[in-house]
Amino acid sequence: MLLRTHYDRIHALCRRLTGNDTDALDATQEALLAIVRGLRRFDGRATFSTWSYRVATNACLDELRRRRRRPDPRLAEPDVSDASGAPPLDQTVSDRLAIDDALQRLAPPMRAAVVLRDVLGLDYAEIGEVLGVPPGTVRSRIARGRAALAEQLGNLDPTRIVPTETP
Amino acid sequence: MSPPTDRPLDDELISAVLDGEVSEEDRRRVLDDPTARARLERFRRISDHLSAPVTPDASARDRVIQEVLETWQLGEPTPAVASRSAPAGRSPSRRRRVLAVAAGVLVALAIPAALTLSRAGDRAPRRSELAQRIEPEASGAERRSEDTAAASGPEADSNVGQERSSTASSDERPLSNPARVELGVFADPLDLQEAVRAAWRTSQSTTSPSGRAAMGVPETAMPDTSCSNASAAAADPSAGPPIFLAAATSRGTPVHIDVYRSTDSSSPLAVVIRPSTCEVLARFTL
Repeated sequence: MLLRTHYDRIHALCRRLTGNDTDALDATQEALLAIVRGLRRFDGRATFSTWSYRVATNACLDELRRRRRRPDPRLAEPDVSDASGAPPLDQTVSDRLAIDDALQRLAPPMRAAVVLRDVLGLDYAEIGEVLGVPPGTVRSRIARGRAALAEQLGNLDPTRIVPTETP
Repeated sequence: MSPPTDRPLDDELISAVLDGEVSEEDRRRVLDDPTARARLERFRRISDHLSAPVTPDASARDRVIQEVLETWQLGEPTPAVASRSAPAGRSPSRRRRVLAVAAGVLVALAIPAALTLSRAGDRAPRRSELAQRIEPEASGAERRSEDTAAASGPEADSNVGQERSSTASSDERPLSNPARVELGVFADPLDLQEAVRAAWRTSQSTTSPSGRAAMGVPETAMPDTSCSNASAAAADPSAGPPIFLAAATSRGTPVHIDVYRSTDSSSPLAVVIRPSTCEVLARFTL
């Protein structure tokens, strides 16, 4: 019951952090396992959801580290970036892929801050608790993350919001 | 918190306005500045896209939760942090690895079986000849040997033992002590479960239990210990002896897996034991 209650949000967190469905499922599984294993260590100082997001975020970042050691098939694709460094956003390309790709270009701590804010809706204090940093650092990371995303996704059509499809 | 008024409004303040993490005064400053306002709208679009719902696949959700619960019940003593050091490449290749383990088990079963059948074919005529020659007296002699052994104790039984060992070849290993199938090394208990299931299915589909016992399945270096009582107690005292035995290394710990027939006609039950301590680590159904 506990796992079912928290699955969707943890999966959403992992999906945005890892950038693809396969890794997201693995990360979600690792996260849920870490949560049930760590239940005895949950001391109630944070809310359960904050604690579970912290565990899940760590699990997802670990999954990202593992993935970095695997060859990424996307690296074999030609670089289509223009001279300014920002990739031209072809509207025929799914916005979802663009978002995922742009997110993956952020440094993991920045990405985690942005995702915790925009996907889970946590406030700066909660994000700071999850990531173990002061709220001021959270504010700075989110701002820099958004600025980087804005640069990469400059032409993103605001009228088209495409939900992430199921794996 | 507020920057000097003559300084251009920076992204940090604009981003914080979007998140409602600034004072009303700062918010007003951003909204009153056309450049900052445009930037705010840009950030808002990014945020809207990121917050688009991620729809989880229901079947994947059920599968993941089931796997988490099974792994958790497996009760690996390693703390959660150890899962972070699992080898790279687990994610997309888990099923492939399980299939590879299953294929390995199949090959491990098939090669000795083929060799055994080949040797059995060579020996078959000689066996029948020998049987014709010694059968009339064999039963009596064997009975006498057993009587002698029972009366004289283990010291007097050494010759009989040698006789028995010389006549009982490896492919005539008794069913009550079948060899364990070595499943390999696993970093993830979930993979171990899958491998046990695959090995069990393979063993059931390739040959009968008696045939399997005669096949000379791969043995581990670990001998059977006196953990059988603990294992049986963890299964069901009325389940009888194990019907399938396997061994593996799970997260660096050698483990034995004893499979018992279910007493209520449901799926067989596997008991995972640490042979060095006879500690029951987990139980799961196949």
